[in-house]
Amino acid sequence: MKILLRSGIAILLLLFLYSCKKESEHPQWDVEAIGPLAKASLGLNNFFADTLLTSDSEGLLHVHYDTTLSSFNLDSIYTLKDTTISSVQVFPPFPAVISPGTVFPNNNNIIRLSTGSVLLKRADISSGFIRIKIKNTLRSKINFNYQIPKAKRNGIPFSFSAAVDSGSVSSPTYFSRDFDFSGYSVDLTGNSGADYNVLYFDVTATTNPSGQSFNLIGSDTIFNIETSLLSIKPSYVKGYLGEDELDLNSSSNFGIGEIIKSGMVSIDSVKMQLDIVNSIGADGQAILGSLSSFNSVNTTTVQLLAPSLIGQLINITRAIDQGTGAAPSTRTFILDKSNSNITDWIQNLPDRYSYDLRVHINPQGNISGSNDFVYSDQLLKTRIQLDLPLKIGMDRAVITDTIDLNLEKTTDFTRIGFTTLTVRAENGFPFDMDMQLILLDSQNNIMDTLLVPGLIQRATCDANRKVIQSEVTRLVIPVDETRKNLLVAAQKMCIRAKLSTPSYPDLYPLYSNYRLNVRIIADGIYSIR
Amino acid sequence: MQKRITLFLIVLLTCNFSFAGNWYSPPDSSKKYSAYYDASFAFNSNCITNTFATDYYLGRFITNSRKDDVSNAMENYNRFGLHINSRAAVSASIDTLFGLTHSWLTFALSDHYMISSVFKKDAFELYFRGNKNYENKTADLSNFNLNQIRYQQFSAGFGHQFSRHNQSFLVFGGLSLNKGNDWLDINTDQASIFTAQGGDFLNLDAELEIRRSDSTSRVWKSWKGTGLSADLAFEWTDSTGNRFSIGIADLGFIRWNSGSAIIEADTSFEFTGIDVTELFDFQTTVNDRINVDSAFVQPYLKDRTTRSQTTMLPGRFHVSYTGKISSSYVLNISADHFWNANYLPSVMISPGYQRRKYTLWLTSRLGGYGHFFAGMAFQYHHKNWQIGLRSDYISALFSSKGKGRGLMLSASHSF
Repeated sequence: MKILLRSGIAILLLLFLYSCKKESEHPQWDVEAIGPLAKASLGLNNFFADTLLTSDSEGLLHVHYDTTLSSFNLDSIYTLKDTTISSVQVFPPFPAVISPGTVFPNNNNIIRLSTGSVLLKRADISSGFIRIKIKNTLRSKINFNYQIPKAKRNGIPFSFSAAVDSGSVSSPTYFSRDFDFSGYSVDLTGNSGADYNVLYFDVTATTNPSGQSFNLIGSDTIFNIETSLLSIKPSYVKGYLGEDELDLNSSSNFGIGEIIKSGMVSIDSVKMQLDIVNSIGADGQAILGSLSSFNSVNTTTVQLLAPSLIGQLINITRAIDQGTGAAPSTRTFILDKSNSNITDWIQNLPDRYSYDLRVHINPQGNISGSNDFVYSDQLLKTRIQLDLPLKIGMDRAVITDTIDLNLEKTTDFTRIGFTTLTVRAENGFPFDMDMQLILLDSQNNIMDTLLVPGLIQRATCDANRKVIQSEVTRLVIPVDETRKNLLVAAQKMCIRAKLSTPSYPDLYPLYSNYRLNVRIIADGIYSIR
Repeated sequence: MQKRITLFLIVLLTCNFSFAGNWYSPPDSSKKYSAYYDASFAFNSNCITNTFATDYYLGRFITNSRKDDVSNAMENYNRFGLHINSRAAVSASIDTLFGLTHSWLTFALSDHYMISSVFKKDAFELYFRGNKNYENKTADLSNFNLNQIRYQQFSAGFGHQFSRHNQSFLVFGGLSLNKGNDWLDINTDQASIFTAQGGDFLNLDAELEIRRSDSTSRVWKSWKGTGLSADLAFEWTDSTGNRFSIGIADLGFIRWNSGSAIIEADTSFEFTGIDVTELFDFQTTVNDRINVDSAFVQPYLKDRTTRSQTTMLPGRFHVSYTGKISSSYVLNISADHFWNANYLPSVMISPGYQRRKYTLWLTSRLGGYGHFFAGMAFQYHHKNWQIGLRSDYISALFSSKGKGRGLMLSASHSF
C-alpha cells in the first residue's frame, strides 16, 4: 500500500510538472497566400463627371460643357434707394378752439423714389417695408388714418389707422411702426397718372371724439408724419429703363483645365454655341470685346478669334412681357474651326476663361413709350455650350487625383509579412499610361513613390484607330516592412497618370465602352493568430 | 500557477478506465455502497503529430517543420479526435428490486468534451500553409467535417446480477438527462478553391453548412440544450472466469435551444477583389469606405437562420472478451466504435498478467482516428479499493512524430 501510495504521488507530481503554461491564447503560424485584393473598372466617366459625358450613335464620347458667361444683376440696371419724406401740416397763424372730433385732412403727399435715370410707372414689391413715424404736439389724442391709394395688395390699398396720445411742444408723443410692403403693386404715376417714380399718400387727422376741446395758439403743428421706404426690392418694374452702357469684365474657372493638368492635347473639332438671352423688356446692343482661355500651369493665354462675333455689334431685341414672366429673345452664334480658332482655344487646356462684354441698353432712347420692363429674376445672360467629340491625341497629358487613405482600419497590418503587390492593368484605351502612386502625409509631403516603372501599355488598334484588343500590363510593387509602415502611416495617395497616344498629334476616338480594368494582387506572408 | 493547477486537475479528472470495473459495476459483495470516479483524455490521429498538437494547444508558433511532419503522414482522408471525459458515480445494493435480488441502483454525474474531424490533405495545406502552392491548381476541400461538442449528464441506472449453472450474468440499463453546453458542426460536401496563375482570381465552389449552438457564454454551467440518452450493458462470465461483455453508451440526443444557428453557403463564384472603383473619381476626392467584412463574407452566405436543432450524441458501442490463458495470464480482445464522431471502428488485443492484487496489461489498438498504438494499463485491488491507470498511446511517446496521447485514471471504493 505504501508503495502504491508513493507511486501514485510520483505520478501526480509528474502530471503537475507536465502541465505547461500556455504561451498565448491562440496558436500562431504563417501562411503564404496569393490572391486578388481589390479591383476597379475605370471608364472616362471616372475622369469627367457623368453630366459632362455623352455618347453619340456610334458610341463616340463627347464632352459637353455648359456655363453662363455673364449674368447681369438688377443693380446694374436700376436701384431703388431708401427714401424718407416728412409731411408736416401747420394750423393757420391764429388761435382757435378745437372741438373733439375735428378732422384735419391732408391728401396727395408725394414720395418721389430715387432711381437715377430710370422712369418707373409701376413696381411690384417682392420685399421691403414702409416705416411710419408720427409726432403729436397737440393737447389731444389724435386719430390718424393713413392711406396710399395706388399701392395695392390683392386690390386693397395700403392703409392703417393709429391713435396717438396727447402731447405738447415740450413733450411730444410719438408713434412709430414698420409695415411689410411686400406683395404690393405700386402705381408710380402719381395722382395725375402722368408722373414717374412717384407714389403719394393721404392722411386724415381727427381729434379724439370723446375728448376735450383744446386751444390752438396759432401755427401749431397739426401733424408731423415721416414716411420711409426701406430696403425696397421689386420683383417687376415697368417704365423707361434709361439709356445706359454696362461693362462686364470677369473671369471664371473652366472645368477642362482642371482635369488635364499639363501636357499637350490635340483635338479634331469642337463646337461652341454662344447664346445671348435677353429677358429684359428693352432693346440693346452688345459687343463681346474678348474671350480668352488661360492655362495657369503654362501661363498661356489664347484669345478667341471669331470675326463674326468678337468685336462685332450685336443687336438684341427686347423680350415680350407675358404678364407672369418674360418671353426672352435669343441671339445664337455657332463657332467651330471653320469660323474661329476655337480648337486652339480649347487645346490651350484652360482652367480659367475671361471676357470683356459691353451692353448698351436702349441705344435709341425711349422708343417703347416707357413700356420697358424687367423681372428681377429674368435678366440678360450669355451662355456658352461646348461640344467636344473625344477624338483626340495626347502627349504626356497629366491627370491627377488624390484620395484619402486609411489602410490601418482595413486590416491588422502587423500580421502581414513581406508581400509583393502586383497591379494588373488591362488597358482598353488607345493611350499609354505612365502611372505613379505617391504616398502623402497629412501635410501633403511625399512619403514614398510606388510603381517604378509604372508604364501601362496601350491597347491594340485597327486601321481606323479603334481598339480591338486590350493590353495587360503587370506592375510589381515590393512591400517590405519599411514600405508597409509607410503605407499604414500615409494619409493620402496621389494618383498621377501621363497619357500619351501614339504618333502625336494623330487623333484617336474614345468610345463609351473603353475601360481600364485594374486589379491589385497580393502575394506574401500572412500571420494567423 | 492557477493554469497549471487547472490543467493538472483536468488531467486528473480525465481518465476513463474501461478495464477495471465500470461506473455501473455493483458494490463488492460484502458491501452495500460503492463510489466510483474516472477521468480520461485521449488524442490520436493518423497524421497530426503530438508535437503539432501540443504547439497548437499551448499557443506556440507552429513552424514549417511541424507542418511537414503532418503533411508527410497524411493520406487521402485524414482524421483526428480528442475525447475528454470524467464521471463520478455512486451505487447502492438493493436486496430486492422489481422482484429481483442482487440488484443495485447507480447514480452518476459526468462531463464530456469531444472534438473530431475528417479532412483531406488540401484542407490542411490550405489552412496551415496558404494557397501559394496551389497556383493554377484546385484545392479539394470536399467531405470535410469538424464536430465539437461538450455536455454534462445526470445518469441513473439499474443493474442486476444473477447466476445460472456456475455462470454469472450482469445486465444494466441507465437513463441520462443531458445538459448541452456547446456544439459546433462544420460540414462540406462539395468544396474546392482554384487559385489562378499569378493570383489573378480565386474560384470557390462550395456547399458548406455550419451549425452551432447559441454562441453566448460557453462556460460549463451554461445550459443551451437538453436531451436524453440510454446506456445498456450485458456481461457474461463463465465458470472458468472468461468474461464476455457488450454495451452501448450515450445512445441519445440533445435538443439545442432556439438560439442555435445554421449558416449555409451553396455557392460558386469567382473572386477578383473588392470593387473600389468609386475611390477613383478624378472629379472629386472621395472618402468612400469599403466594409471589408461585408465585401468578403456577406455576399457569399446564402442563408443564416437561428432555430432549435437536435443532434445525436457521439454514442459508443463496445464489445469485449477476456479469456484466461493460465492462472496468471489473461487475454482481452475488444472492439469499439463511436458514431457521430468521425471514428473508425477499432480493435484491441491486450494480454494481461494477473497477481492477487494487481493486473498489468499490454494494450494494442488498431483503428479509431489513427493506425496502430501500443500502451499499458495497471490495475490495483486492495481491500475495497480499485485503482486503475492506463494509456493506450505509450508507443507514440517514443517517436517525435507520434500521433497519439492519452491517459486514463479510475478509482472505486466499496463501503
